[in-house]
Amino acid sequence: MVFSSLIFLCGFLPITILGYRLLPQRLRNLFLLIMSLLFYAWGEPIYFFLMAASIFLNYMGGLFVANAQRKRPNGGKFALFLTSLINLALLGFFKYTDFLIGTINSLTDAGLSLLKIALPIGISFYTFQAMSYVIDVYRKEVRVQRNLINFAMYVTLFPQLIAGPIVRYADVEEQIETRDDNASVFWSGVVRFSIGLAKKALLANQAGKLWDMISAQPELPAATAWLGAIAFTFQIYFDFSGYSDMAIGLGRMFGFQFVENFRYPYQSDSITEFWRRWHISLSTWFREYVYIPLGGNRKGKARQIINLFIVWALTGLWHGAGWNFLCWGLYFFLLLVIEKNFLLKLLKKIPAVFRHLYALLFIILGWVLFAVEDFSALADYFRALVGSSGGYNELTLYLLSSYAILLVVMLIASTELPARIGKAFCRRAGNGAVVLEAVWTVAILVLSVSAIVADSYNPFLYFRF
Amino acid sequence: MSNKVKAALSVCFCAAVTCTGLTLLIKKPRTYSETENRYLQQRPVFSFDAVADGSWQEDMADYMSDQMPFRDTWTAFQTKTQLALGKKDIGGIYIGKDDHYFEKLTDLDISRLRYQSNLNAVLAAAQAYPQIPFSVMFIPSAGIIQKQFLPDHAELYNAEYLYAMAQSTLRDACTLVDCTTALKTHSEEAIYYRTDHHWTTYGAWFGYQAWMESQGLVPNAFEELNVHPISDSFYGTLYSKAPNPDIMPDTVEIRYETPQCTVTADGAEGTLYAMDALNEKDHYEVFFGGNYGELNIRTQCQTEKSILIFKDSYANCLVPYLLEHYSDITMIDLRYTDGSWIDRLNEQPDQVLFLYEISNFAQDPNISTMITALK
Repeated sequence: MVFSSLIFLCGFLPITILGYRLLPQRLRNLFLLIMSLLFYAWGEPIYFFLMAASIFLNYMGGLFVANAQRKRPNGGKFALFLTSLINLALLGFFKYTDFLIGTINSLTDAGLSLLKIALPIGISFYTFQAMSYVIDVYRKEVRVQRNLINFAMYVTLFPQLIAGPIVRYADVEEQIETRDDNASVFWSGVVRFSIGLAKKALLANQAGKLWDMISAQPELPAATAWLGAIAFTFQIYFDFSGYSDMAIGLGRMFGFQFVENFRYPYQSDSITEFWRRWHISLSTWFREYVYIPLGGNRKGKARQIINLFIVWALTGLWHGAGWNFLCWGLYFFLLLVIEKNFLLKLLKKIPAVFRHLYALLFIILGWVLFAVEDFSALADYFRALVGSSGGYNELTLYLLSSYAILLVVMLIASTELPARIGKAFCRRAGNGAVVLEAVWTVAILVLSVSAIVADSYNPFLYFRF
Repeated sequence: MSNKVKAALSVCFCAAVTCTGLTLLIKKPRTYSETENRYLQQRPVFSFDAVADGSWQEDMADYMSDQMPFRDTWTAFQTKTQLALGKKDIGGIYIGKDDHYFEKLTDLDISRLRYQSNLNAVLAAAQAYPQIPFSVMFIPSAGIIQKQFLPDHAELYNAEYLYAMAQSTLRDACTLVDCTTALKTHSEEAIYYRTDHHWTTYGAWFGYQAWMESQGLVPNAFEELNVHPISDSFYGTLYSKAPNPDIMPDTVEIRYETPQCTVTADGAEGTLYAMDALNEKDHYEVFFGGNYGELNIRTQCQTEKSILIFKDSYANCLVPYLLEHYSDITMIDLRYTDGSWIDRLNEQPDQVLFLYEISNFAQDPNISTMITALK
C-alpha cells in the first residue's frame, strides 16, 4: 500500500487513527503492530512470514547479546555476529542473488538460470533498522527490549517500514513506551504529511512523466538530455523526500518523532555537504555501523580512504543490485576524496554561485548514472549530454513550453525558500498563523487528492530498495 | 487557544477522511462514467485466493479511486490545474488551440513492423483475388491535417513516411486513394471533431469526393446532400481523457434525407442512423449505432454495383454518401468479425476498399490475421 493512494488515505489511515485513539494506552502498541503487519502484507502477503522471521531473529539476537553480556562483560560477540550474518544473508539472498548469478553468467559460460525473486518491499530499510537495535544492544547504547510486541512494533511501524527514514532503535527507544501524542503534535503531523503528499502527487509524478518520456526517445539532442537529467533529479528528490515527509508526519500522528531525512540537499555548495543533507538516516547508519567501526579517519589517511571506499561501495549496492549502482556509489567516493583532500579549500575561494553550480552539475550527473541502468545506454546518454545528437529539436521546445512553469515551481520547492516565506508569514500573522497553516494544508491536500483521483501514474522509486 | 484550534483541525481532518471512506463503503457503486467513457471498477469479491495473489488489493485500490465521491469534479479540477501550470498534454492528449483535442501519437507509439505486416495482409488479399479491383484510402489523424491547432512545437507521427510505405508495398496491387490533399486545403474548417478523434460528416465528404474521383465518377455536392446538425452537445472520447467543462461541445451532423435502404447488422435488422445514441455519451455512435463485424446495406440504386469495405469507425460517417452509387454495400470490421468476410470476397464484389484512419490501421492487431484465413 502506498501513502499516496485513496485506500490508504480514506481506508487504512482513519481506521488506524480511530482505533489508536479509542484504545487504552496499554493496547496501543499491539494495535499499531497489527495494523503495520496488515499494511505490510497488503502488497505481498507471502512476505509476511519473512517479516515475522526477521522480527523473531532480531528479538532473540538482542536477548542473546544481553544475556551473554550479563555473564561476561565483553561477551555477546558471537550472538551479534550470528544475528548480523543471518540478517545480511536474508538481505543478500532476496536482493542480490540474481545480480550475482547474472554476473557469473556474463563472466563464464555457466548459464545459470535466474531465480526471479520478487524483492520483499522495504527489506533494505527494515533489515538495517533491526540491525541497529542488536548492534546498539551490544554496544550498551540501548537497553534490551524484552517485550516482543514493543520490539515487533518498532520493526514494522508502518510509516517508515517500506521506504525509510531508517529509524535507529536508539532514537525511538524512549518513545516506544511513552509518547507525547496530543492534538498539537497530531496536527503538525497532518501538516507534514500533506506537504509530503503534495511533493509526491503534484511534483514527483510530473517530473517522472517528463523523465519517462525523454528516456524513451531513441535520439536525444543535448538540451533534451539535460532536461531529462534535471527531470529525474527533481523526481527522485520529491519522490523520496516526499515519502520521508509523509513518514515523519504519520509518525507524529501517533506521537513518534523521527529524525529528519532531508535538508534541502540541492542547496548544497559541495558534494560533501550534499551527503549531509541527502538521505541523512542512511548516511548516519553507514557512519555509525560501518565507517566508525572500521576506524573512520583515526587510523591515517590511507586507511581513511579505504574506509570511505568500503562505505561508498556498500552505499551504492544498497540502492540496487546492479553495476551502475556500484559505480554511482564509487563516483561519490571519488568526489568526496577529492573534496576532502584539496577541492573544498579551493572551492572556498570562488564565488558562491560557482560552488553551487559545481555541486549541482555533479549531483545531476550522478543521477544520470543512477537512473540509466544499462551501461551502453548510459554511454549513449552521456554522449547525448555533450551533443552527439545535436543541440535541440522540436520536442525540446515542446517539452520546455509544456513544463516551464512546473520546472520553476520544482526549483523553488526544492529550496528552503517556501518554508522561510511560510514562517515569515506566520510570524506576522501571530494568532492567525494556525489558520494560515490550515488553509495552506487544505489547499495542497485538495490539489494532491485531485491528482491522485485523476491520475493513474503513481510509481514510488524507492520501493525497489 | 491555538491548541484548541489545532485539536479542532485534527478532528476535521480525521472526520473528512473517515467520511470519505464510509461513503465509499456504503454508497451504491456507479457502473459507468459518462465523462470518462469507461466502465468503473466495482466492489471486488473477497476471497483468500484473490488476497493471496494481490488482485483483491489492486481491485480495491481501483475501486476507491473509481468510486470516489465527486469523481468528475476531482478530475475536472485536475485538468484545470494542469492547464494552469502550462501543461500542453494530459493523459495522452494534446490540448491544442481553440478547444481542439488531439491524440498524442508519436513515432514511438506506432510500430512500423506491425504496420508493414498489416500492409502485407492487404497485399496478400489483393493478390489472392486479382480479378477484383482493390483500393486503399488511409485517412490521416486530425493533428496531421490541422497542425495549426496543435500546441506549438507539438509533434505527431511521421504520416508521410507511413504513406510512402503504403505506396511501395501496395502500388502494383491496389489503387491508393488520396484524401489528404483535399482535407489539407480545408484544414481551417470543421473537418474533424474538436473533442473526438473522428472526422466530421463534413470532413468525410472530402473522403467521399476523393473516392468518387478515383473511380471516375461525379460526387454529389455537399450542399445538395441535406446535411444538418442532429446534436450540439457531443463530448468525444478525447475529451474524456482530460475532462474540462470550459470546452465547447461538438456538433454532430447527419443526412436528413437518405434513399430507401435495408440495413442488416450482424444478421439482425440495423439502421443507418441510430438516434438512441444521442441519449448516450458517444454521439458518434449515431452512425449505424456503432461498429459491427459485418454490416450490409441494400439500396434501390439503379446501377447494380456492389462494394466490400474493410474499415474502422471512420468509415461509418462516410458510407451514407455511397447510398446513391452502390446497390449492395458491405462493411467489415475486422475487430469484430466472425470471419464471414472471406465468403463476401468469394462472392466477387465489384470493388474492395480498405478505409481506415492510418494510425488505427498501423496499430490494429487484427488485420495481419487475414493472411491465415486467405491460405
